[in-house]
Amino acid sequence: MSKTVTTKTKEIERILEALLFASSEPLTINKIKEIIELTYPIKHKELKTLLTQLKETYEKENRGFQLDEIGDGYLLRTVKDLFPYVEQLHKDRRGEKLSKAAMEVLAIIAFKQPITRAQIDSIRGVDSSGTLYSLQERGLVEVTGRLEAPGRPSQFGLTRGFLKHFGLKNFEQFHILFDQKN
Amino acid sequence: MISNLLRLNAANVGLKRVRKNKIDKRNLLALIESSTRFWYCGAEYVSTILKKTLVETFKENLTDLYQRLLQEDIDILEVKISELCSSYVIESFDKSIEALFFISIFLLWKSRKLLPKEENKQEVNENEEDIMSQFIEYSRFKELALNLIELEKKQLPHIPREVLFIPEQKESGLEEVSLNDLATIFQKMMAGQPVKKTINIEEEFTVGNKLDWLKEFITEKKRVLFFDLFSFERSKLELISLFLALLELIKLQEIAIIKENDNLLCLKR
Repeated sequence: MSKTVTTKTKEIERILEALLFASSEPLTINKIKEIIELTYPIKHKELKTLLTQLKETYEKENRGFQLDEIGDGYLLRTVKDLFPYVEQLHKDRRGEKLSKAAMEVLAIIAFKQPITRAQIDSIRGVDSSGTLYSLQERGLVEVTGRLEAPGRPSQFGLTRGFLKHFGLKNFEQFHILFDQKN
Repeated sequence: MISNLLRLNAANVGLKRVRKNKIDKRNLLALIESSTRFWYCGAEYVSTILKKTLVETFKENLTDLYQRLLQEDIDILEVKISELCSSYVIESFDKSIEALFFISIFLLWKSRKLLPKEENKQEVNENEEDIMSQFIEYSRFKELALNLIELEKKQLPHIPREVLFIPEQKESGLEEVSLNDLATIFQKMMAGQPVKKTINIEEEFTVGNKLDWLKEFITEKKRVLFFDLFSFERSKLELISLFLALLELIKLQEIAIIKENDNLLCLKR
């Protein structure tokens, strides 16, 4: 009986690894559960324990990648000290860093969402439409609704892509981090 | 930037508010920088010149100036245009334009300040209050943006995997039937179909029309016998349009044709 259980756990661990390996976006526990339950019934808590164990194993074995809790999910990312090597691999396609203007717009949206473009412009004193467009293109910002005002302008909010970009677990963590600083 | 200096200088009214918001020395400097950016979007070097101007004009460093501002012993009217002009080292064309621009703003502000106070006092105070609160708010967001930049820097060495988009591999919908089969069936159908004897010359059948009809029909029925689709009395043109529409829907993977007990069935995918 216990042998069967061990085999089942091992198999789930393998599935977990495969899912994490094949995903470039943070995988939520619910999504993982949904997929694994196609074959093996598993409890949320049990899955969480397995993910924590996997995370610890990678750390203990000093692997080239780590399992991070980001954007309400889990994501495999390379470890910091190997960045010089990974950078060589991707040196021709860098440029993912956001501009200062983009950071300002993100900071405003983060604390004022939902917010319209005109409201952002009024805080910054300059036009932000281009910056806002590129942030939308990068999946960091999205239209969350419309303001009940003449013209019904779009209101913007942050996406899970924002959490992924800044390596944040969730929005709560973001506010804890920034409210302390400011 | 001179206008910023003047605003700061003139903001004696708003200083109580500044104190309430616990703006310290570091934040005041950030405020100067951000306000510079606020008004002269993008010109980052402007803030450097501002500091230089402040030091040269007042012959003291910013810390002392900050203290004096707090003690409210500097009046905007004490700032002399001639001193400010001489504090600029006009090295290039760009800088002289810059100087001209700032001096003109300075003049505007100073002249506003020189207007009789009784008439405009309330309005000026309100404007200064607004500007101060905008500066404070913007400087906070600017500082937040700097924090975000730091956070991004920390995350940069962690690269997630890149996964290529795996295209969905749908079957063609004609696995069980060859195109030859379809052609034979169509020929049989055309031969066996009682073709309408009278043709309305205004009647028009397009593949587009038939495509819409077919989509609706199959969505409603889910499973239809292939021959049932062509069982109505139709003209040749209509039959051809219908057949082409059917092929188009198979191509678009909206329907599939399967064989079941020697019968051909059209299914909604």
